[in-house]
Parts: sequence; C-alpha cells; structure tokens
Amino acid sequence: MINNKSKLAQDFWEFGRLDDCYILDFHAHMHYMSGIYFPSHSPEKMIETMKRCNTKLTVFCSHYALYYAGFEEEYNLNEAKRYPDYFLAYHSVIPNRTNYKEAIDRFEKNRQYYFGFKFHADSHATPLTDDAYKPFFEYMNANSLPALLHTWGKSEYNGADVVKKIAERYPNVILICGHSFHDDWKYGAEVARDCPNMMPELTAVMDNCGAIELLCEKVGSDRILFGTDLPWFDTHHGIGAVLSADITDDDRRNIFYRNGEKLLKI
Amino acid sequence: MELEFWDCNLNYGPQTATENLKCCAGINELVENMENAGITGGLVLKTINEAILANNSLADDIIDKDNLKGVWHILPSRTDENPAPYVLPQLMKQNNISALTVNPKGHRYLPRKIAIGDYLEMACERKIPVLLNTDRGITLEQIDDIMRDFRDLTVILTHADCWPNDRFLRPFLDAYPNLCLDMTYMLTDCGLKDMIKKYPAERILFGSGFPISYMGAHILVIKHAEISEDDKRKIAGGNLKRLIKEACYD
Repeated sequence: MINNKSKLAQDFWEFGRLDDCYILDFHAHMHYMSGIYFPSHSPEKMIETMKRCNTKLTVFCSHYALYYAGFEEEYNLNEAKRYPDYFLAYHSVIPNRTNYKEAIDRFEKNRQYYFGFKFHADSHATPLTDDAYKPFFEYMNANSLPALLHTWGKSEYNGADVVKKIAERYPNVILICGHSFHDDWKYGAEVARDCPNMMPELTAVMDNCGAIELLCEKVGSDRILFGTDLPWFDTHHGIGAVLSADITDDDRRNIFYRNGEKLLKI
Repeated sequence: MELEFWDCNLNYGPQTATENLKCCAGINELVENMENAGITGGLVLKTINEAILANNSLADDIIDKDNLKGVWHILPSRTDENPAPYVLPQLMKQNNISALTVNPKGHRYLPRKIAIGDYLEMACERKIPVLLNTDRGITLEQIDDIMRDFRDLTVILTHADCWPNDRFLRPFLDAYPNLCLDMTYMLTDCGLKDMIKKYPAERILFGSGFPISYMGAHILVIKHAEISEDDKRKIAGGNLKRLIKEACYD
C-alpha cells in the first residue's frame, strides 16, 4: 500500500516508523500562533509525534520568537534546553528588531542548543537582501552556518531571484530553502541546482504531486531536506508523500535522514 | 481486517492552462495509480472546464469500471443544458455516476437557490452526495448560504486550503447534519485524532486530491492515526461507500 513499487513504503505502511530509516525534521515551529488552532503545539505533544514516526531530531523556531514582539528568543532557548535530546533551535532574525550583538552573544553562549538562524522575510515584509539582515549573513558566512529561509515562488522578499543573490553573496552560508520556492517549482529548482549552497526543504511541498520528483531530478536527492512545519503538518503525511513520489528508495533515505546527518555531522 | 480505501477526491483530465506539476490525462493512468497506492475505488471527476463535455466523456470513460463512481457537474436548469432534475438520477444510475458537483465561478452562475435549487432539492430528497469544493469557484460563505436553504443536503465539503482550518470547518459539522469533510487538505498534525474526539468518524472521508496531491500521503496518516480500527475503516472507505449506497437513483 501507499506505493507498491517501494519496499520502504511497504515497511512504513506496516509499522509507521522504522528503526533503520529515521527522520530528521529541519523545519518546525512550536507554541500557539494567531489565526490557527493547533492540537499539538506544545513541545511535549510534538515529542509524541516524533516518537510515533521515529523522528530523531527536530529543528524548530517558536511562533512566539518568530512573530511576536516581547516574547522573542527565550522561548526557543528554554525549550531547546528542556528537551535537548529532541530539539535544536533556529535563532529567529526579525529585521530592525533583533539586536545583532545580543543575538550573536546568545547564540555563541548557547551554541549546543542552536543549529542556525531562521528568516521569514515574507512575514516581516523585508527582502532578504535588505541591510537589516546583512550582519547576520556576514556572521553566518564567516562561520559557515546554516539558515532556514521561508521561500515562496515569485516573492519579492524571498523568491528564487532574491535568494539567489544571497547565495552568491554568502557562499559559505548553507541556505535551507523552506518550501522550495513553492509554486515557482521549475525556476526555483533550477536556481537551487545552480547554487551549491542551497538545500531545498519539503515543508508544504508534499501536497503538490510531482514537486518531489522535480526537485530530485533537477537538484538531486542528496541536497533535499525533510521538514513538516510541525505542529502544522502531520509527519506521517510528509513521509507518505515522499514514499508516494516516483523516486528510488535510496532517494527517500537521502531525504529522510542521510542529508541531515551530513549537515548535523552525526 | 485490512483497510479498504475509497477516495472521495479523484481527478483526471488533460493539463489545463493553470499548470499542475502532475497531470493524469487518462482514466487508465488513474486506475494504474490507484492500484499502485492500494486504493480500491472512489468518486472521480473529469477536469475539463466545459461541463457538458466533462460529464459526457466521464461517463464514457468509466462505463466498465465498477469501482469508479463518476461526479457530474450541474448547471442552472433554465438553460436546458443538463438533463432536468427529475430525469437526472436515472441517467446517473445508467452511467455509473454517484455524485454531483458545482463550479459556479468557472461555469458562471450564482450558487444560490434561485439558480440551482431544483437540482439541490432533488439531491436532498434522494440523499445524492453533492461535492462542494472551494477550489471549484465556491466560497465557504456561499456554501453556508446553500446549506441554510438545504440543511439536510448530503455534502462532501473540500476546503482547498492546507492551513489548519478547524475554526472554519467545525461549525459546518455542528450546523449541518449530513455534511462530511473531505480530508484532502486536512494535514494538521494530530488533526484527525483531535477531530474524532469531538465528531463521529462518520463525518470524515478519505480524499487524496490526486493528481494535485500525492495519493499515498493520507493513506499513511489514516493507517497510523491514534484512533480506533473501526474509525479508520469508516474514514478510509466505509463512509463513502455508505453515502453512495444510501443515495436513491431510481
């Protein structure tokens, strides 16, 4: 079931989780968000989901830290410290509000709890090329750090052409392209193909049949990362979509955990 | 007992101007994909913009496919393009058609009682399922307007928005007893389990949305959801088969 051509799909169908094919989730959030009802917004509920699917690690940025003035970074750091076996955090970067010196100081003092930085330029209505982000990208470039970018097709803030400029300007930054330039699939994949420091990420891609195949063909399964937007999207839905795609089981393993292992150096 | 999947949201047809990544041009390709995913049957719509052409060619395509139940578009009866409401059920039966749908924006009419009330009244009386999909030119507000006039209408509601939408959708379940939700765009983590705590499993139907969405994604969700095996069987296929069986086409 799911995909009769895939041994991995048949095993997931049977057990729902596999010891020899675990999941690394590079795109998650946490806590409440205005406008959305989430049944599993707490870290404890997210951990339950992770256990059901054998997600070994989830890299997250709390909705509070990403969107709400006054809450900011403490929610990321506190939860990463409470559950270090399950979570790493992205430090949020909110243009013209996140204090650069304080952020870097916090990041370096708590390095074991942070994976990189998170940018949501669409929400903050500030293109990634804006000077407000510049010191962060320069710091990440000097230290070869990863950034999770919200990317969306044709966005003036984080569309493929904007992210391409960042990729060329800061070649040492690993740009995890959240949502893989959703809706601008073909051009986005071509841009990612030509920029070796870009890694397409699959959150919200999984409800678009054909996108995973396109990314594998144009960019290569060895550069694609798995993500769910947890607590937004059901991890089994994401796994099921990857299992349904017309790609090889080797490609699926690259997406589920192998590429993530390399990034995490585990 | 193995789960049997019946899909309430299957589509096929030539690629349109609004290009999807995946196209499923023919009925045999659809069947091949269903067999590969382990889907036994379902409701199928032909995605041709012109309603009459879509209805007629769909009937031709599924004539020998017992487990594919067709969905026909309705149009306002005043233009006499569709068979009249009183003869439509028999034609549906003859042509293996089990449900109706509307596309008021694409087909340019008002989704109101004055335009399509005669068809909806017939569907209401005969418990013929009507697919209302916000991706086919109808809004949730308009669906609520229709349901106020036809409170007992058997409806499969597809809200084509993958953001978590419980605040929008649960009031429909509360207000309209024969309205069911298509899972296609219901992707929320733990959403199925949470929904089943408040509403009976009879109100939720498995839908893949193929070829826009991957067929196997929700199959894995249902199989491993933390709900009872009985509820899984209903959602996977039992509910849709029941709705089709309950309808009167004679």
